[in-house]
Amino acid sequence: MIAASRLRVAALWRGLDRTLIFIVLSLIGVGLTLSLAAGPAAAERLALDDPFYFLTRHAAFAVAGIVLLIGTSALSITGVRRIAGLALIGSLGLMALLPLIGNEINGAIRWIRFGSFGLQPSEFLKPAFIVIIAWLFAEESRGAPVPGRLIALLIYAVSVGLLIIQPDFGQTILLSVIFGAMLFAAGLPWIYTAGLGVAGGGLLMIAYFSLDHVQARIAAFLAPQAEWAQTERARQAFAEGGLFGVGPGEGEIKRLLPEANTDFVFSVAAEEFGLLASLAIIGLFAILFAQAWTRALRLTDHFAQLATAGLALLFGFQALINIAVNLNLIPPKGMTLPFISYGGSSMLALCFSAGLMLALTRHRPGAYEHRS
Amino acid sequence: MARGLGRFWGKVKVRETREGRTPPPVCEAAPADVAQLLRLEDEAGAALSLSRTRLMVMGLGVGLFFAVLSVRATGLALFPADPASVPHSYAEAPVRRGEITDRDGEVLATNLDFHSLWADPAMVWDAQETAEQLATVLTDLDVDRTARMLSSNRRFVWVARQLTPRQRQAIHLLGLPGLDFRIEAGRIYPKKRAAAHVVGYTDTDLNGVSGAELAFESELSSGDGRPVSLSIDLTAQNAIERVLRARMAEFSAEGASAVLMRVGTGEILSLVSLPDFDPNRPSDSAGVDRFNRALTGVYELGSVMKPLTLAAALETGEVRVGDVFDATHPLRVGGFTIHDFHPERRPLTAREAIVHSSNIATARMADTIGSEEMRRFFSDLRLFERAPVELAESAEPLMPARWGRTENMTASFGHGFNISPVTLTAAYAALANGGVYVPPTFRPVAPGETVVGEPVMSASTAAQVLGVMRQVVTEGSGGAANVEGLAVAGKTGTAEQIVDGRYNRRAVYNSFISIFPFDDPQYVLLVTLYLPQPTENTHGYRTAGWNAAPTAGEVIGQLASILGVAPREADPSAQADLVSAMFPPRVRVRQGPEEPLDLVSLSEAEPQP
Repeated sequence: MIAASRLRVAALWRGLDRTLIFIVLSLIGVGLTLSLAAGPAAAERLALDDPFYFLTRHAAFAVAGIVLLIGTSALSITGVRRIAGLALIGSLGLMALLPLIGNEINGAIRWIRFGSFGLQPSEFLKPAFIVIIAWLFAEESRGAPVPGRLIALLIYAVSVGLLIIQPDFGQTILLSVIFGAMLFAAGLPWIYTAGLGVAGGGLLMIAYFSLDHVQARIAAFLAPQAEWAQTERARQAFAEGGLFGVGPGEGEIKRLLPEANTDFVFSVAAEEFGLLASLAIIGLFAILFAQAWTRALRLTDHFAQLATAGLALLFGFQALINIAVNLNLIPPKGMTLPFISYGGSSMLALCFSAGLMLALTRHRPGAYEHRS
Repeated sequence: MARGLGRFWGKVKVRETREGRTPPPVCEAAPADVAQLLRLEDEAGAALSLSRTRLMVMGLGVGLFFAVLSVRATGLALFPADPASVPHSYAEAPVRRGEITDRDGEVLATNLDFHSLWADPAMVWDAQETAEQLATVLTDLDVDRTARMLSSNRRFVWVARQLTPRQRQAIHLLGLPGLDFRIEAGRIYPKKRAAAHVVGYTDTDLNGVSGAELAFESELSSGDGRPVSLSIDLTAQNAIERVLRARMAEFSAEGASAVLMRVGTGEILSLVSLPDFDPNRPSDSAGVDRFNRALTGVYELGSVMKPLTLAAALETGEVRVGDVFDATHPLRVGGFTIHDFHPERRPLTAREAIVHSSNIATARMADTIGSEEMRRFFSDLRLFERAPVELAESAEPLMPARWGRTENMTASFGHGFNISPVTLTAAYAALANGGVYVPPTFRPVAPGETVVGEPVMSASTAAQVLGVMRQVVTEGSGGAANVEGLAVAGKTGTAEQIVDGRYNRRAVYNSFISIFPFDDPQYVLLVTLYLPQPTENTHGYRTAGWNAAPTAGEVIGQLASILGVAPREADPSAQADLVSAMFPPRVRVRQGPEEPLDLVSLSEAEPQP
């Protein structure tokens, strides 16, 4: 029995994409390293007694995340679908209950408090949503008697509606872009694709004119007095860091940026370890995306292909948006840097996503097309 | 719906049909519905290949974004915007400005970096809580107002300026988000009110606004800021200020001023103007407090001018100190009557005219030599121009439109033209300097430094006038200024001021000009009290002999030890005899029988006891 299970573990391990595992673990390691620098500064700013408060928690979440990742990666394709379905129902349910049981921080209700841990259901919504949407699209394209796109659109509407209530504009955009991209990848005719683009742009305009805090953010980004905005500070970090950085722990920016250990951790890396570190992080994400993408291209199961691509887009877009904010290319969004930023929900949900991706891309007989 | 859910959960396989069959051979067995399966395979294959094409396009797009980010990160790190446009709020170089010191190096003005607290309300989490927490450190913070400010829509509000390092650290440790500090260079005046009018102050951008801060702006702000030392002697300054403040209160005066000048160098050792102000907070005080009475104020100073008239008369050679001028009756001139305050109603010698402060006799003396001579002499003493000091506050005198006979006679006893106290002090410094005028200055003169002066009268004239001034103190109205062993020479001046177009007996500016020690003049001191009131001690009098003279006496008494003037048993005549013997009068001397120079109290009408 034990031998059998050992065999099974060995088979599982052989089937897993080791490049993806290596990159995810590297990113988590980078996150912990940066937490050494940014964590104590954040703890000091919040007047916490333990300077390693954030580091300890970060490490705990990382361990829990890796366990979750390994567990999830052992799932079968059907298992992935099932667990994603449960996660989707669970996160949507919790998000619907947020106005009643949620915690307000910075004017947004996104968290449910369990002791010292704040659960952010919308983080778990993203991978679950992607997997389910992928399945629905795949079913529809297979000609199954299920109105896949219609149901997908319904789920999308509900998810986005719940996100806007919080309000969480950044996640709304992320989810919408991924939804659109998957719709396109699933084989949406060009005419609809163009229509979708126009509709998306229109929605953005409406959001800008009707939601105050969106307007405020963008105004702050464009205004010349952005001199004291967070992003300007982040920009200074790059200039200070130069090629090799000012050295570990020597950075100033982490004391000045309010979210140095979460949304602006990239700037901390750029200041303390320099351009080499920032390029390395960008490179790791690029490799992660490219690896997942080539896997997706070669998968023979349409559902697995779409889901893998969607999850790759989740990592890719989230990293792109976060880094672009740090580089002062777009206004602040409140988006974490996958696997690196401090944040329990984000870490667990992303490890969960990575686990799903590993499960989907696992070598099974006939799973991959042979290259001709 | 149920079927859809079933499909999702992965149970929908054609299992029910399996039970009744024998398992078909692997691979070869045809599925239940071959047609559907074939169609499915085909469609799925087409969908897959379409997806692949599209995924490839998208993958390239995302890759492009990664490339853009790499380029941007490289650009920011290696080619930062020019330093001017990159704000360094956390490492601002403070503005440098030179220190101002007194002549002994005591710091009068220096720089201090202040930390100022500002907030970005958009990033403040809880305005009320933030304000309350801040109030635990900044006890005088208005919590409600701050909370309102912190919840405003602006992106930058000042919360508190000029914090101490201790306060800054305490606020930093509160760990409130949305708050930040800026370093602001500030100017501080550690001696506060001392010499405030001389030192002046700056605006918040550290540009000089008044006093030395303005006058020496280019030096103070050049490069890293060059230090500037002033001629002020802080110890003397403090002593005079203390005495003046007490006396001003005693006589309920509106103000008081004093100028102390060193003879020979022109250095102004002390300049006091009361009421004064704290240059650390100039805007807290009224404009009148910042007014420099000794330099910017021009006044009719009254009888303190008479010794200069005597000097002018002696200098022409047409008048000697023993010459007699009639002061029996008030003098009518140009529809204007000149009275004496303490009428002697008899003919007075030139000496007596000064000692008894007779307006009539002095006016006659001025009339004797004529307005031309008077004007030339006064103009040599620079009475008709602004005091040539560095400070911009030095004011132009107010002169009559024409200097006719009437103006000449009123000017002889200090009325009809207005000059600043510093101007007058500088003129007396020339008298004390053996007749050589040295421009007054606020910069210290190094020992041995050559000071260029300009002879304006003969040493003999100067010595004779000094002798008469000594007599004013020993026998005349200046008695209260006599300090044992310091041989003070001086002259009182009670100048009625014009109120509602008329000279008012109750509104007087009282001055006492003094030179000490009389036999070796080193210092000139002018003390002025503005609108002093009579007290019990003055027996109802408000004349200078009762208030300005004793004030000057007290000041001189304190200055003696500060300035290191050795007390002496002065023989008032000795110096004057010596000097006048050595220097015969410079200009034309009246023809007549030779007679010995008529010096202090020797051959006066009334014999001395």
